[in-house]
Amino acid sequence: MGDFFRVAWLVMRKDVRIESRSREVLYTTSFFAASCVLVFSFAFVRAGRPVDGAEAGIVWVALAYAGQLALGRAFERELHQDALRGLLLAPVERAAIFVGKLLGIMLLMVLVEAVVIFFVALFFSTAFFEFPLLFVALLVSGTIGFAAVGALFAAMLTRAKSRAVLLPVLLYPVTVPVLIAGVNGTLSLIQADPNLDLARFWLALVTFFDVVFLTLALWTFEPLMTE
Amino acid sequence: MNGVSRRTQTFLIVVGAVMFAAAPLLIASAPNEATMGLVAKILYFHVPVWFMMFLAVFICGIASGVYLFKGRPAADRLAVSAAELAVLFGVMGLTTGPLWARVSWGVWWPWDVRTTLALILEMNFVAYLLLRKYGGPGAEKLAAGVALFGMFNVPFVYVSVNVWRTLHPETTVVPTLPTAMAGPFWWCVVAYFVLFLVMLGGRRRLEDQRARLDELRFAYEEE
Amino acid sequence: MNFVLLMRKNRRLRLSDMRILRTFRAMRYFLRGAVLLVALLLIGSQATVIVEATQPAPVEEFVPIGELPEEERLPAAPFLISAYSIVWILAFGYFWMLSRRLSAVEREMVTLTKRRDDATGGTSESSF
Repeated sequence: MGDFFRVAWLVMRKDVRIESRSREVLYTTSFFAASCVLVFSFAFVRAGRPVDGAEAGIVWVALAYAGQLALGRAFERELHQDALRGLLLAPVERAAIFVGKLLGIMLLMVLVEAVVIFFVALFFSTAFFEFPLLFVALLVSGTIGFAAVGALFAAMLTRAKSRAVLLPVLLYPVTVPVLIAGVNGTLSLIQADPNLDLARFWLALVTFFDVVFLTLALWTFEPLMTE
Repeated sequence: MNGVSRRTQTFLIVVGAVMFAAAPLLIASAPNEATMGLVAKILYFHVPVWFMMFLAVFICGIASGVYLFKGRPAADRLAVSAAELAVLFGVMGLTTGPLWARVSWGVWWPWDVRTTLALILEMNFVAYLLLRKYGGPGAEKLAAGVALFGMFNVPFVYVSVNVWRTLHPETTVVPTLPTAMAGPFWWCVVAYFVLFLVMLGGRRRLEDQRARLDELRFAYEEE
Repeated sequence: MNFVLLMRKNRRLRLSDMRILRTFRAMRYFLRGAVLLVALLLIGSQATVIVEATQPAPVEEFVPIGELPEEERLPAAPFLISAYSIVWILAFGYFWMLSRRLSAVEREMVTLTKRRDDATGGTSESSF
């Protein structure tokens, strides 16, 4: 068991180290997320005020788009010099490799989230942190769900053709519950009359989704990645 | 060209054309009671079509799971056949549904839980077919993963869309079919189930023959 | 079914030919069965239309249409007809496409078998 987490930690550390040298994926994804927020602002602002509840939607949609981009780029890196094959040939549990990559992607997504929330709060004066614990929990579990499914699909598509366009095509229908729960959970927290029970329900739903799909991803990573 | 197929194809066209010509006559012969009574007839095949799509989704998901973990190619052939049927019946349902909704509710898309779930499943399995077609070699296994995830996603999508919808009570949920129509309705369900089985069998046969053809090609190239 | 091709040069019928013949026969039966069942389905659906027409109008639970005044209700017939037509077109279209693809595959199988048998001088035994 200790080995499992040690391998995962090593893989994550490798990814973080590579990324910290160039910071390419982080900067470009964050900037992309910020421009998403801008574009959506133009779509959903009427007479200087956002359409009711648009902030929640903008946060999660920007996250979904930026996340999908980051996923593709993170795994593209493994294509150079057959790094992926080298990783898979290592005499370690493959699920541990998956967890390692997942942790790396989650760290990236959390940083991008911070940028998105900053800009949305700036543009729309939204009080995101009125209930900080619930909000952060919702964000984190939503990120886990999205990243778990995304990491699996991105990993399995690494060597497939048309992977750039196929990833969002495959990813979005499966992560619909996360998006619905995330948007509506956030909405119930930031609206004029916050509904904490509803927010907790959405949080529970996303957490359940995370458990089921993380298990499923760990279970299917091995057969999906065999050549 | 193969004589048998051409004859049967012509036969199919003739049968289809004759039945098609008869349908409007039969519909027109029904007396015009309430406007609602007439358009409710869409539900006779809209609901069975939805049942069949759901069935196809689960067959595909389970077969994909078997293929992924046991590696049986027959399971993969069943999975792709079921996925195509899921998409086909999904299209049937997603076109007849809005046509019914437009008359009953005045809107093309009622955003109720079953319609939205059907749409998401449809997209999932269209993605499955796209992946198989454009994913390059080895895409069958990847697609199996997608189908498995799609199948497991059904309860989550249902619950989340359901709760999401009840927060906006402007349009209410799709009502159940009046019990007086039970007989003809279940007849339609059985008829569509038989149609589904025939289509599935045919599509599987196509996959089996393609596999045999590949074997033949391979054997031929070896010599 | 091109028997002439198989019977050329007084070749005796072999196991591979029998299998192809059986496949074609099975395919024919399957397609006939498909046509029969589709016809059943069509008849059944028309029957439901007739059955429903002879019954009194059911108590409607659809609130909005009941609240709408007569003038604002949409004529249902074009929608019903389009819905029917779409389903039939899709079902028949799929059968058509299946039968076409199937016959193309079968054709290629025959060609390939013939080519291979000719190439090996007609002494090989098929292995599938």
